[in-house]
Amino acid sequence: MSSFQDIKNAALYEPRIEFIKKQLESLLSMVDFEKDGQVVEVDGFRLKNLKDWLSPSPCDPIEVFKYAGTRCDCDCLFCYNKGNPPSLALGNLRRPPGEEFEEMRTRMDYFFPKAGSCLFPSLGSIYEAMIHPHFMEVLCLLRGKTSKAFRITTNGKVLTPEMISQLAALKPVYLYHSLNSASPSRRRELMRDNDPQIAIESLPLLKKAGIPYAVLIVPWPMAFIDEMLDDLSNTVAYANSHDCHLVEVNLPGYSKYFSQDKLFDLDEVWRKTVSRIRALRETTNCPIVVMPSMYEENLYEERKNLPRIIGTVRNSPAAKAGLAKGDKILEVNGIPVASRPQARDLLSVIQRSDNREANVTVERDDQILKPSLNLEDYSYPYSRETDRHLGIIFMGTGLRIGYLEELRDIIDSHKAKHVLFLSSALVKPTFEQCLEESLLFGNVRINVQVPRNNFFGGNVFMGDLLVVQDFIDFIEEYLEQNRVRPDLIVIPSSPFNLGQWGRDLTGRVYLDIERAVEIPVELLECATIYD
Amino acid sequence: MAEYVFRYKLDNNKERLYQDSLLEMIRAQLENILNIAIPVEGQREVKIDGFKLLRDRQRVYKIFPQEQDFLEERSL
Repeated sequence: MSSFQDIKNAALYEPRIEFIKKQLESLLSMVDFEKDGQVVEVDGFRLKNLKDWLSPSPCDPIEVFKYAGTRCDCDCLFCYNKGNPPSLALGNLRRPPGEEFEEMRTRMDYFFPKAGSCLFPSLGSIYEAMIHPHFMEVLCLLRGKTSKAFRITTNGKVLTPEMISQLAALKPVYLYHSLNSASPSRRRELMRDNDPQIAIESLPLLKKAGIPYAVLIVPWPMAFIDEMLDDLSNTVAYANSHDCHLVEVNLPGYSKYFSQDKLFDLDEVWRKTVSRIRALRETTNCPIVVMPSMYEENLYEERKNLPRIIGTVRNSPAAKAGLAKGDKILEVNGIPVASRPQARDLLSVIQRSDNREANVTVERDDQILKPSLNLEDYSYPYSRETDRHLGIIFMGTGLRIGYLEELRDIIDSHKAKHVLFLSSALVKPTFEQCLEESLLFGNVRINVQVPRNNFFGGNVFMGDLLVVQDFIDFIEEYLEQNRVRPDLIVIPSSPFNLGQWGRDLTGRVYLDIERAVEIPVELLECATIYD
Repeated sequence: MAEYVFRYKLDNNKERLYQDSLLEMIRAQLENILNIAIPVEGQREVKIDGFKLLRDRQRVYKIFPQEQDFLEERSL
């Protein structure tokens, strides 16, 4: 018999299961169930017809194979899983691998890419999928159902020649390789990897096998920041020398559950890291992105949200056409472009089309250039199946101007005059720039504020990690300190974006905010900006 | 090959706002529904926070208790 599923995890994406649970508990507090005249003691329930539990889905293969990531063979110093609050809906069931495989196989039976539906998702698993004993079997079965790229995150510990050869047979495959350091001794220390050479030596093997990959680096200051930065430079150089598709540097942070003590000065580490990355971009061919990208944008870009190129993928149509770091896109196929999301959308449509050519107008210094991109002229590490913007890399997704129109509609529907808008420290500068330039809001007063991440604590300050109680605490404090009571509160939907049901990371519904503060609360639909 | 069975455990949830079990059952079920659906009248969303029983339309019962409500009810 299968194990019980974690109800909190399921509730994020399919709260109707939690609804059934609570309804049954409510009924069982009043009645006993019977069968053949005998009382039946029940302690659980099961889903009856799985076809009733299909949901719309883009059917990315990861929807199935992510359930293999239930274990890890590294013990990274910075692993954010060590800092998850106890009430977070991230509970991993401890089940035998065979049972996990049975769930993945059943999920595959209900995986319908053509119809765009699959079984309701759950948070899945967040560890190393490639060490699961059935992982390759799952990928082989999945390849029979979809030709979409397998995008796999791995610590690289099992990227042996044999494993890479098996992956190559299942292309298109794209790896997010958490190398973290190209130095064996530092990788051993950072990740507790007792055989660091396997991951380090896998880069040339991946290139040889034609599998594009991103190298992921969490710069974690152990003893000295300069030592960390030098290792970062060496690791980027190593990745670059093996035709890495791009380098993704994830700025480090930790919650209060990870450490009660201050481990490092976040601002100092982030500033110095970004500064080093900007210097590295001058000497490195492969693009380097820093996450969260808005931190760099806020530090260095006076004008936000521009469609400026920060790098191009080697051998991509964009690189071959001569597009370069610093270029600002003005037009794509003759369509004027005003913001980064707009440029990304247009390029993404072309990427998915059968077009053979694209025309881009860019501003470089004071010159206007109009290169033509031959979409059939490319080679490794670029590929049509795994790239998204013809090889152009931007400083993150940016903020969609269309959100402002949706915000105005929300405000109009409430006839509100005093709006409290709850943003994040990273998004606020771009959002305020868009607000200042907008003519949509007339005499409506929009006060943009940033709640604190009390729930996660530590040095976490990401808006998407705010939970319902953080919003309630902030609004109550705000109401105590401000005489003008807002008549509407608007919150970006991204902290509640895991499913379509408005749940935060603890599974609590956003409607609880309005119930607590007794002011109308609306969500502004928007995608997560952590990209 | 048999399908995987998605199973969920039931708990013996003792937390309640109203000592009257039938009343508490109605409150809990309304609260559950309002966490996944929004009532409307025509096309207009209707926000509700309480209910009355048909047999006694003088008294209003809360649906969404605060912690304080639990304490008050227990002390009655």
